Amino acid sequence: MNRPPLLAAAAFFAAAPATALAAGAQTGGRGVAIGFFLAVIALTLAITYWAARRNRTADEFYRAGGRITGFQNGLAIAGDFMSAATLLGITGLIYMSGFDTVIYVLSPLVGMCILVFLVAEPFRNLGRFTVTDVAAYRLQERPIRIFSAFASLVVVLLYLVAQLVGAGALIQILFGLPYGFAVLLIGLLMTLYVAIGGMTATSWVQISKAAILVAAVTILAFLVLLRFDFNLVNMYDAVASAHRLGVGVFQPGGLLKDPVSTMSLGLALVFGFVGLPHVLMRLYTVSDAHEARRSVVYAAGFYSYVSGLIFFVVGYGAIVLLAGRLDYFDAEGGLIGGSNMVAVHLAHEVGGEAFLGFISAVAFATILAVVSGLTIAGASAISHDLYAGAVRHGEASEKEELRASKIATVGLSFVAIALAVAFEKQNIAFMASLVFAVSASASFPLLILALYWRGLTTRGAVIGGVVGLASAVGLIILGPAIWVQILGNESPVFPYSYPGLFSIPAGFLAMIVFSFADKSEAGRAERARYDSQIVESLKDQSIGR
Amino acid sequence: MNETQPGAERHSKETLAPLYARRVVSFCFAAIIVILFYGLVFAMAFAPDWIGAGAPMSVGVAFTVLIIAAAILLNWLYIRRMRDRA
Repeated sequence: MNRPPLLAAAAFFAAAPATALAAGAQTGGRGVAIGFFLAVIALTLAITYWAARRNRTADEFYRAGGRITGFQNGLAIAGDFMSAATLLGITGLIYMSGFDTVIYVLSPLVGMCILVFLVAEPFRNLGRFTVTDVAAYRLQERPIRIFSAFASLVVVLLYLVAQLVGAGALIQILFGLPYGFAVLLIGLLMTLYVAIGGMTATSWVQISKAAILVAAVTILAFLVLLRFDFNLVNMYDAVASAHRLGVGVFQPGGLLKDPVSTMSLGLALVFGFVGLPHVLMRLYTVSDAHEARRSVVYAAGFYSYVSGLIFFVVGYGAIVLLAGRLDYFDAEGGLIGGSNMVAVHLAHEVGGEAFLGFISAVAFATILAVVSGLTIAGASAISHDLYAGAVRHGEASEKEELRASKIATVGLSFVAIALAVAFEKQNIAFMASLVFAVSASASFPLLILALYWRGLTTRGAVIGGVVGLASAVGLIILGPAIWVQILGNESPVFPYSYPGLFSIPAGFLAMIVFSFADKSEAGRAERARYDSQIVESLKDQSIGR
Repeated sequence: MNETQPGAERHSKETLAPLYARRVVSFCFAAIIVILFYGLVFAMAFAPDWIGAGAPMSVGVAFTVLIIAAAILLNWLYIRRMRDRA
């Protein structure tokens, strides 16, 4: 197994943003980049100011009052997965390893299809504010809320810390600010968006960023194709000549060396995406189930367009256009700033200083938008599931819940900032693997079985969820990312970097076995409520539209 | 009791049958895209030579285009079907 590339692949979800603006600094585009950078901050703060006037109720805070349209929400959902990782990380992976990157490109798209066909409608009809609402519909509220909120928080916190570490390094490179201050700046901005503007601000920051990203990638792909007279075949022939792998760059094996890693990664990315709390929460921001379905369809369209351009044009085009350009390489022949800088160098190569500044600012905007979405999902798990649901048993007033959500936002941000500062010198690549592994192994089985299996009981859901979560975390700790690289042991106990092939079935199996074994009266009552759940989950509120 | 938790109302077969039918259709749509994607992943894992055949315009590149096209088409068909039902 080829571990370094595997970890590099995992890192693109976490640390890709870290060096986004480095080229700006190194090639003289810093002034332009800073200008765009400040414009992004000004725009997002203006959105927050506008949204603050609406953020007066729990409904506004958690789901923007349901006023987001399907088209707008489609942009926002696509934006959640068209992060700096997509623009910088995937471009870099294609540049380095070629075709294997296709798993990263296609898995969110397949996840979106599963969302449209299996999740969007029942999820929107059964739930109110958070992911947990759906599972708690017919199962016992308290244990389900505690477990599900915990799983959501693990996912959110790991993802947040990974993003903040990358974002801190990004600002550090651009402004020359100390790392800790840079993390604090980003943390402060995301806290402002969420605490003051709620879901309205968070959604519109994401929508604006997604629109800008679509435009940026379109321009970048256009400029690349222009260099090849819009002839993709000629470009691919040139790619095969320029890359160290030759035509191997269009064949599997450049990144994933063994079948277990390939299958495991494919499973974790698709099902992990479906279980991400900040993505699922967006299904509540539209008016009804019909709009929820439509929004994911739009998201799939936007994502297909952007990722298709990056995969087929930008990534492969960079191989040819950066080849032999000594100003993008250091004395040892390595790309300045590493593989995550490919898109930024390419922007400079095809569009000059101004376009480089623009692409750099887009990368920064993507980070701000994604961390804001994560923060509101985490804060909602604390205030709605833990405080209002588990602690107050649904007795908290709206005012109290809203206050709790704002306190949770500040608290979660503080913890994330502190962890990001503590992890500055650590290899955080494992966090990205962990996010998708936990989401796929704990949240996804709970969601799917709660929606589609009559036999699921609270006991099975909680025990199975804990098994999925523990196996995902445990196998990653015992794997090469932590056991060898961080703890310094000679060889890993678990030989693979991705545990999905083992932890996802473990989660499902445990939920099924312990539900079957549950002969309690409560379990029987939960199964009996399943028919009502089906009727409620598929009621079509859009009839007559 | 959960504020959203329903009672165990009994529903007739006539009420439930069309809902189950809808779910079967949804699963069929999902199965198509999942099989296509994991077909590619499985082939990358166990038949990399076949996936790489014909590079640079390899089977894998064509498969990728097929999956993206299938995803868009299936989404469009599904939404259309739901709209017609409404």
